[in-house]
Amino acid sequence: MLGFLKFFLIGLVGLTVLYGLLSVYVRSLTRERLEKEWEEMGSNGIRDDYVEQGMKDYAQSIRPKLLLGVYILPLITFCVVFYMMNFM
Amino acid sequence: MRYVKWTLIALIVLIVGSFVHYTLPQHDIVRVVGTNTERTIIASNRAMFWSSGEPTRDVQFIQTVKTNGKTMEYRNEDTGWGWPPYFKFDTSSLYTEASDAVSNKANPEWYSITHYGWRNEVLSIFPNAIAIKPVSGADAKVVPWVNIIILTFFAIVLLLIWRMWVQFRERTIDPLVEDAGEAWDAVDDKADAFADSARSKARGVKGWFSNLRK
Repeated sequence: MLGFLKFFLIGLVGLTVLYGLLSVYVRSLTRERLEKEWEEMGSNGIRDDYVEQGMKDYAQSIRPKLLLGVYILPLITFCVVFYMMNFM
Repeated sequence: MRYVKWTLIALIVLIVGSFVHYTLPQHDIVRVVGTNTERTIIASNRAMFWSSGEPTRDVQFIQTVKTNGKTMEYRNEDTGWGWPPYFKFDTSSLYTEASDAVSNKANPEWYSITHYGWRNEVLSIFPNAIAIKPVSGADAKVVPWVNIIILTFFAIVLLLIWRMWVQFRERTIDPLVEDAGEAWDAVDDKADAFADSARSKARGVKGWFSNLRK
């Protein structure tokens, strides 16, 4: 039981670090994309307003939620490996 | 300096390579000769090549002969929740399967044993058997799907880390450096202006003196 707790906690910490890094990375990519979009559209209006609105839209879209796959996919992998190792 | 660099790189490749080679599963085509349980004393400096547990304990072994006639011995131990993450809890079942797989030289039955770890006679270390499956014959080939998936996954992770670093440098470090550069330029300009004015003043004083001499 203690072994399981250790495994679970280390996994949780590792995945949380990965989740944090990924969400910062994807936000940075989105911001860069919005800045380029604004330039391509002829640089109309205030650049920061356009980018901030885009970031708000991104935060409300499904895409940041997809990053929760960082937790879900390893969990599924773990279940499959556990089943195959011990019950097949 | 170049030798230091390459020695370091070679060392890192060696360590990472050994680690991967030790940890990832491999398949041996073998004929099982027997199984037994042996009271084993595990020296603390070799404990990393065994599952965790009491230093003196009963360990199950599987004795086999490979297709090339050489012998191979496996230990049969739970990995539990520890490293490497095989989550092996079915040691007893594997022991039964291996005992059931015994065949003799005259009538060989070939099995693929999945294992991780190394056999070393001098250190007295054994690979840990993970699974045993019957195969069609001695020339059977097993495609290492698990290794293909894991190594591809790690290549993708490395690529991702590299892309993250590039993005971080472009978007965060470079602008900071630019700002610092601009601030430094401003200081430099001020210093230049000060030096210029000092020089012109000095010229003025000199000129005044030279005028006096005339």
